[in-house]
Amino acid sequence: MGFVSLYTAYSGLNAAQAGMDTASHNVANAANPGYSRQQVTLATRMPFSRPFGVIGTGVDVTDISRIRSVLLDQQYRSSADNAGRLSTLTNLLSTLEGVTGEPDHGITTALTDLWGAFEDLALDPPDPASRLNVLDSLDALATRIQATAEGWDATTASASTSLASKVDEVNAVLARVASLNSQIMDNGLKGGPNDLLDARDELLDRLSNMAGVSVHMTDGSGARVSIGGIALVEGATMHALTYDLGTYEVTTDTGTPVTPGGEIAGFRAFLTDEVPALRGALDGFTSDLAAALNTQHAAGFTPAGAAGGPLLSFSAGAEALTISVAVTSIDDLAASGTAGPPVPLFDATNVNALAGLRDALVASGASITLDAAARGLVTNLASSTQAAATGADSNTALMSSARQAKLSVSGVNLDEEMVNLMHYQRTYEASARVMTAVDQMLDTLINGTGIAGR
Amino acid sequence: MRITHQSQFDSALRRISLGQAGTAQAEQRLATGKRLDRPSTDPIAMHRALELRATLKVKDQAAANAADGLMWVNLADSKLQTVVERLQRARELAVQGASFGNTNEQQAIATEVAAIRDQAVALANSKHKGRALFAGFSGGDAITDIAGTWTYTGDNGTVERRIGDNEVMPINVTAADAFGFTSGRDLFSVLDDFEAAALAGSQGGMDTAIGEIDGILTDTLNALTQLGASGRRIEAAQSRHLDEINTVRAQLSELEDMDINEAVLDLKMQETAYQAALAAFGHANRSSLVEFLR
Repeated sequence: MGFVSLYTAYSGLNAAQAGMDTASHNVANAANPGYSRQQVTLATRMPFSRPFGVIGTGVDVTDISRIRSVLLDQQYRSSADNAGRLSTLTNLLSTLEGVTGEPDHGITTALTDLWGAFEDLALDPPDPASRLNVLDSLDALATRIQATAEGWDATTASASTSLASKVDEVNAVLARVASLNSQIMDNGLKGGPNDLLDARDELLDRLSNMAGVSVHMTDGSGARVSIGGIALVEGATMHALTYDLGTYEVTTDTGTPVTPGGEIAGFRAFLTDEVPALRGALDGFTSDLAAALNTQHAAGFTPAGAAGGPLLSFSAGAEALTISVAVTSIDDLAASGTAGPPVPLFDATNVNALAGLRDALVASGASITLDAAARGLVTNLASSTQAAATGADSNTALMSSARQAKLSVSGVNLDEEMVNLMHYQRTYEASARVMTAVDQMLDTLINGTGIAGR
Repeated sequence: MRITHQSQFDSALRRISLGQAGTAQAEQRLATGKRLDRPSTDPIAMHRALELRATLKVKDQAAANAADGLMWVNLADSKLQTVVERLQRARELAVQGASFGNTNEQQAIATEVAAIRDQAVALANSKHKGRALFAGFSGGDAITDIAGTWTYTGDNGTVERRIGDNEVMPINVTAADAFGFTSGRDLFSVLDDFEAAALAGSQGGMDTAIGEIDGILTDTLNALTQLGASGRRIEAAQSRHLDEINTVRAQLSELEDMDINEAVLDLKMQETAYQAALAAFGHANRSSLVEFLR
């Protein structure tokens, strides 16, 4: 029996060593965010049957497993999906908002200034300074509209390129997931390659944030990554995503259209919903503004007696981008309502009518005033931004609490590892002591027998 | 809940960065004094603020219009007052000429009447910022002597000022209405005839002049009444504007501006929270089991 105990003690030494190795691996990875703490699973060895009973034969290390909750992973990934979408949308919309220059230097202010310039001109119609002021105000308004449209378009273009590079990034991650899949599956089921699994889980977290993918585990520990049921990674096979710069459509390499979530969804919502609506409203406002001003201006007469020409001009289809002041000379302003000749120098009838357009329902299908339409542009954008920001904040909070929950399960507690380390150290020491005891016992047997009475 | 090294650092980091963000925002609000730094901070308040800004601008403009209008009315009023004064003097002279009458006196009356006429012409053609006060929209003189006939060379344009919402006030009277061109004989021809009659010593001419001057005085006084009525309404509008502008300013300030006391308090609170997060982190990490193991 003595020899059995020797092996029993040896299995204890082995288990203690495995435990200490795992604990030191845990301690070393304490600051690694993607790391799941590992744990040694011990089991008693097959016992040894003797006529008088069954004798234990020590301990086996059966497994070194990761401590990780699939449920928390799913919670984290679904909040990462929403957080990615809404944060991206918030960032883009805030950029648009910044471009408008509201509330101090935006279209609303320029429009109010124009009404003021008309009224100032009405006080003294032939005054060159007042006339010039009207032209300048018109120019400021047109420039402001144009700058807003250009700024929005630039943001749109950069969002489109960012989306393209985001799709590339997703593809790179998908490729790494596929390659990790094949390594993990080669490794076999027994004794999961924990550190590879951690690496893959971290990539899957990133994929959820970027593209809102669904993840299913298949036989042999492969991860199947899909969007809306369409597989992107299955085992070691990968289907890359492609992105159309014109239509903002995302398809797989087999041509199947997919609707990703996450950051990509944020970019696409911005490009396909928010921007067209905002730009449409801006173009509509621009054409309403130009139509109202031009019509009223045409009803008046310049000091030379000619009917007023257009004040603002634009090309249809790109209203906001091409808006410009059509009158070049202060003598082309039609302030008078009387044709003459001679045109009364101080007749301000038409300029008063132009100033009166402020209260006229000429915008948005003759339902609201131009001021209200300009304010609508600002507040619609502001509301969208605020809604996205609120959603992003709450989902980021959700994501961070899911992360906290994950960390509290999978993270390393240094004190705990110290205790484990001591525990295994003591096991090691005791096993060694057992070994010494057996050795002494055997020493007695080998060197001490047969010398009785010597 | 299991506390781990990572989660401890993670949440500490989050608290610290939240504290920093809060402090930065509070600082910015205090520094700019604005509660609405960008539209999305509060879209509804921003909508209201933009509306109020537009209203404020409209009211400011109406106030400027009213001030300009009042200056016009007051100027026209003082010119017409002088004309009335001079006309009354002319009437006295006519009465004088009708009762007495020797050549020297007649000569003196004629000279004074001619002077009054010239003065009246100058007053009728008086200008404000290069613009004739009594010529309607016309840019030229109101009264011109065309081939020996006094002619009204303005038009009947009504100069208006918008002094409030839907409140448009006429601020001019034309020389045609004020000096008798419209109702019959004009002031200047009457004074011409008066001068001729005085030189000729015509008693009948004096009587005619008295009648005609009375007729013109009625027109001029009517014009003065009209201007006075406009002036009073503009003055009323002005004092109303002052109240309204103050009210709108107050509302706008309430929407946009930061209460300084509140802002300072908020900053202090955010700072305290930030420092507490830092201190807590430092404290929590001071002890570890490692320290107690040998």
